[in-house]
Amino acid sequence: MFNANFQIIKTAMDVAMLRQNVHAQNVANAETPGYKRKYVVFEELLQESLKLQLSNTNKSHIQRVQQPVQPQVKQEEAFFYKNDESGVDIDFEISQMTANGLRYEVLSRLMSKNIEFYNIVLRSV
Amino acid sequence: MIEKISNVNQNVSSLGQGSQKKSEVDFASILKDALDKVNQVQKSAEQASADFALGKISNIHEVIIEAEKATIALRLTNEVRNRIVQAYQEIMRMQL
Amino acid sequence: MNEFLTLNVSASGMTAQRLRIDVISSNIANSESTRTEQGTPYRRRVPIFSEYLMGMGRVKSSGVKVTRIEEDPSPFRLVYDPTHPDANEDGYVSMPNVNVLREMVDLISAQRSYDANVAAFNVTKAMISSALQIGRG
Repeated sequence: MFNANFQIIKTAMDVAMLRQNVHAQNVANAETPGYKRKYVVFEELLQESLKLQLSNTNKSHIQRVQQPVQPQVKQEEAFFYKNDESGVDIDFEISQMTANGLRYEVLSRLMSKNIEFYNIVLRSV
Repeated sequence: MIEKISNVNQNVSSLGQGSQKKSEVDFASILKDALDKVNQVQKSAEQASADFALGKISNIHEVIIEAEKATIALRLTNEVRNRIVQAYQEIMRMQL
Repeated sequence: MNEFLTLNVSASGMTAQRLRIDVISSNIANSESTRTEQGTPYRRRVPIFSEYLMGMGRVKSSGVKVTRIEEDPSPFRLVYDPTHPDANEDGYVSMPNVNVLREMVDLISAQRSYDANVAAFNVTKAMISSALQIGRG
């Protein structure tokens, strides 16, 4: 009954919220010695999963279980950072975080629009 | 979308010169055509939303404009549908 | 992902930086104190930051905590001033190992870090607020 966008937008919002959490951790630990910055990978995983699905249709005898793609939190290898510093650039984290926050707000609005489509039709029935 | 509505008016007046049966069929197909166009706007808005969510496009204004266009188109179609239903009900009342 | 956990992470950052500012202020205020309760000159203090795992789930979020405040072991500054009441036999006074200029730079850095945590907090708050608007009008 609900179109695919409900799930797509919701997933994108989940990933953005996870990214926000990771940025907050990086900023909080910007002066913690030896801390290595964390980041989220998702879009690349999604692309790879889509490519796998496309190649799957050719080999119909191989059934791969379709797991929904999960975002992953990774930590940078910080072999080039000094021991008494952290690997965090505060300005970078703040700018990424601000962009991420705006993206989340746009997604929130798109979700509202999606809901509105249903409401327009339902109200006049 | 508004052009489609005025097109409907033009077509209906020109159909008055044709046979009765034929005009009913033509009106239905015109309405269907208009609904298809609305559906297209809807689909393109959905696609733009999905592309934005998956990170394929970052044009915020593009996505929002598509979404608003789709909302307007849907509201307009809804109104048209309601008016048609009202008109039909009036005609049914007249016959009784 | 728990949004309120994210807020708590940023709050822990604010608390830690606030403590750091307190320590730096104390260093600056005592940069000339030759007598403490222990009888020695004031020793520069340094807050030690460490990762502080927060959250109830399997995957924890890294907040931050000041686990202890250490004393800087570097030597006192010797200043020649025989007229000073705390001067030793050679006329030298042991002054606190506090470099005020360095403390000021640290203070600015701490303020900036504090502001960054506040900014992080506010972005999270804005996101939560916009989620509350879904479906309204």
